[in-house]
Amino acid sequence: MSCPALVINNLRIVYPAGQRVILHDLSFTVPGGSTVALVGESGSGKTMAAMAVMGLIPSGIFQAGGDITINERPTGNLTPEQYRELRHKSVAMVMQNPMSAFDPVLSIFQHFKETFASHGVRDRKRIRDLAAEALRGVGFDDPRHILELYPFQMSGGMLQRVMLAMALIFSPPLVIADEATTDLDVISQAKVLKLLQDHCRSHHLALLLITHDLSVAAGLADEMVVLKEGRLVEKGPVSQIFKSPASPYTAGLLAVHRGLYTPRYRRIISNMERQSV
Amino acid sequence: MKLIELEGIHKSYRQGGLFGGKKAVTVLKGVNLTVEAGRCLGLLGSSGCGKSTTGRLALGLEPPDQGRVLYKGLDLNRMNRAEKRLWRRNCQVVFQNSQGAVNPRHPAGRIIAEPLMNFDPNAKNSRAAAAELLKKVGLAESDLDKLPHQFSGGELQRVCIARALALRPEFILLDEAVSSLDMLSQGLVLDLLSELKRETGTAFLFISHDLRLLMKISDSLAVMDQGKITSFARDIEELETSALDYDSTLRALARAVLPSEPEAERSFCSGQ
Repeated sequence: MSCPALVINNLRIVYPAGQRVILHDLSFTVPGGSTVALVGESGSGKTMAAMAVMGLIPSGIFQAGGDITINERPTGNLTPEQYRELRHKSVAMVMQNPMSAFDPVLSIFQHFKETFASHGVRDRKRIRDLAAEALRGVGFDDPRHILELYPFQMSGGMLQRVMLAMALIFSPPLVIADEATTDLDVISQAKVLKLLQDHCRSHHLALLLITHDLSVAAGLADEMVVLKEGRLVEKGPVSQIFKSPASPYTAGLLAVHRGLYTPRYRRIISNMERQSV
Repeated sequence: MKLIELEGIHKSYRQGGLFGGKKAVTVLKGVNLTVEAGRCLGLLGSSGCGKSTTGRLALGLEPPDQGRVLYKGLDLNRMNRAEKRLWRRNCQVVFQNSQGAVNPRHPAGRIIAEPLMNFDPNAKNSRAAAAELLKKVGLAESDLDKLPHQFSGGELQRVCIARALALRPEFILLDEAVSSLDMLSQGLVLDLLSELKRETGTAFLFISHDLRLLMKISDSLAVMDQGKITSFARDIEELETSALDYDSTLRALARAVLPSEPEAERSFCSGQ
């Protein structure tokens, strides 16, 4: 039995200048190799939880209580250097808005070089080969060409896949995807999520999906955690929560979510499915 | 009544900027589309298929290379000043990025009243009109003096919708207008749009890559791929006919939608 990839225990995050509590004593676990959806609307604090795990809480905001354990390593007393090392070894993050995560003056190859350098790989040819393989793994047919491009020459969907390739290349035990597909169209979203799911399954990586979209939880997650305004509303197996949500708030979210799948939509989908049989 | 018609539209863009003579990319290849008064035309397609370009041409923001855009039978190119003014009044737009569509220094009341001021600088009571519009989109009169950064994404988008409604237009273009919103905000805005259509008889061209949204709000549906309309249903009920041969773009977009229920509970929703 593998150890939990992530344990968050009574995490309290505050914004003193605004006299605000961003996260109220949040606790949940991401078992090794499992997929957990952290679900909440904007302002629920879900991104701040991810930032806390990454040790990247913005200045002015503080962790006022609780602890975070990544791959059985407590993060409480780590120096920034040690946290950076932990990030390289144990957790990778894929974010929304890929354009902002890339340096516009560096080519994709140069971005990979940076990632590899932080893992001690410096041989250019080896980097090129490994990077090309990683890019092929996320669906690029001509990876060598992609390596020469600059971020502005690529679409959002392409950049998202590059970010994914970079995050997964060293197969960390925990991958965090924060609204990673929100800016993509349905087809790109499906591609990216499938890549993420397949890679995590085959390498037994834990996946924490941060999203406001319940269909992401339904499609990929084993368990889900529901946040509202910084507080835990409920958590548990996805199928159980979808079947009988304990909280009226969750029931409300589910109702809006299910409202998207109108009877007309369902009839058309079932027509299509029958036709392809 | 045909409100807006796109006839035989071709549109290309040249890559390479000012000095580049690089090859032209054809974005629209012979597009024919009609928006009827009082109805919502859904335009479905993935990124890069040309749907946003179609929307911009329908609004006259750019001219086509070939073909015509008509407003109530009048060619946009042939309008006189008065006709143009009336057309501009009657056609409004809400884009995907609400933050980029407002002046960050203007309070909501001023943002909403701006179209009123443009068309009638002597308008008195524009503040009262703006208050009414805010209430119509589910916000409060007290929000009149709030700045854009004080609204959530969903609320700011509703301010943009209120602005689009200010002149009581016949037509509103909505280009991925709910795509950046979280689920609850998306639901609220969609309900609002349906209600507005019923109440005011405004026509919409609703552009999206999400079939679920279009099924909720559209009366007619056009599907687009690589600059061409691949199928069109004048009445969306036509799509429910089980004998129908669904076009491959529609299929691909439907297949890509994530399920409504988790694996164990899945009954007849699209399985992956």
